[in-house]
Amino acid sequence: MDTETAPTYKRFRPSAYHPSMALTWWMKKPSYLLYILRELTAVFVAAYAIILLLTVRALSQGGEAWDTWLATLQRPGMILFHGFILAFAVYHSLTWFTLAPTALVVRIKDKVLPASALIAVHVAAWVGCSAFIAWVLLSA
Amino acid sequence: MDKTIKIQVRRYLPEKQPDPFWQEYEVPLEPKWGVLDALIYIKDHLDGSLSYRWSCHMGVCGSCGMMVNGEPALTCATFLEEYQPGPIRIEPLANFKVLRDLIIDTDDFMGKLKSVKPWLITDEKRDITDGENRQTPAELKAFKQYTLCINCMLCYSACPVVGLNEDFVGPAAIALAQRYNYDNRDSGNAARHDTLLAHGGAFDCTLIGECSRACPKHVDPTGAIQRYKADGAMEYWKRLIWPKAATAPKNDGIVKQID
Ligand code: SF4
Ligand code: FES
Repeated sequence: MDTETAPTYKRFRPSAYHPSMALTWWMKKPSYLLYILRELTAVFVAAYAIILLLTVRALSQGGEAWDTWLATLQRPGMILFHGFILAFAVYHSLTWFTLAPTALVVRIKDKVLPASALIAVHVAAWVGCSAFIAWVLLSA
Repeated sequence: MDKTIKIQVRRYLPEKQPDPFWQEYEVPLEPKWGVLDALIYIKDHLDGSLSYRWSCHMGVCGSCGMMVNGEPALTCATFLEEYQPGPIRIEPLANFKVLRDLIIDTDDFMGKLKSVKPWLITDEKRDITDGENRQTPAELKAFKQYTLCINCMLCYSACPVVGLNEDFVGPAAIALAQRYNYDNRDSGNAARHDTLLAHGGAFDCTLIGECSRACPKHVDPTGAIQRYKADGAMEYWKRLIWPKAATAPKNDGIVKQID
């Protein structure tokens, strides 16, 4: 009932309480935690973008800067960090592809393509692109 | 009484006590009883002051939604046996204002439903003699899933975005908007974009997916919202590049349509 248009109704609604969400809401359910982790992957992907930018900068600064940068990249801490970034990037991509069918409805004639097929196409394209890039880099 | 199970209810009686409190009851563990039956038993035999909503007792009216052990559920379709040995904790639906015991304030939700203009918007003039406005099965299928919503609000309780951002129009309202957007008799998409593209609209959704997991009718509001985001993004750019192209039918009120 609209309390604005029926003010008398307020008599039986002395007050109300509005529970607020705890700051730790995302720890309450595994699905919430997985969601927060998925959002967190963006931080690691961004970190990698910064590393790439620094690489380009080192390249533009000539031989000596490039060599120091390469040495930095080869430190164990840096390699570990790259491992982290890779893990998060893979999780990011997988969650992205598994969510794709929620936004995409592909109709072929009057049949809707099942979600599993859509995910498979996405993952196959991803693996294909990665393999191609790996081939280009490794054969250079 | 053979077997029993404990039920803990979060109660709120503002005229007696300013804060909500927990109260425990013990009810018979009947094999076919839903959580709602336990509440009815409490009201009939143990404590007549307990307030809660229900109507159909068969999962179609959408009024018996509550939090059962922290998860939003239709209490008439949730069985006591599944929660053995108990206790079962029952709370009012999360993310809503609570008026009394298990009764939440639905005004905000109703306002949000209305804000997406959930009625046929068209400039086409139809007369009563034209008869039914027929559709093919394929045309119906384009939006049928979104008509199955029973307004139970479980999706609003499951959604952290609703809890954190009270302006968010929410899952069921966007699914309802899509029910009309994908209806071939309707041409009111542009009018609905005004709500759905604005602050509090579909882009406030961060794709957690909890609404679809909570929905007892498999409406899949998550899907409805993401499909809207694709359409809405197109509309956003269209409005930016060529504002004149986006015009809604002048006739966007159901009342105007009748007279
Ligand atoms: S979309 Fe599902 S969960 Fe949300 S109100 Fe409708 S029926 Fe209930
Ligand atoms: S009483 Fe109607 S849905 Fe539960």
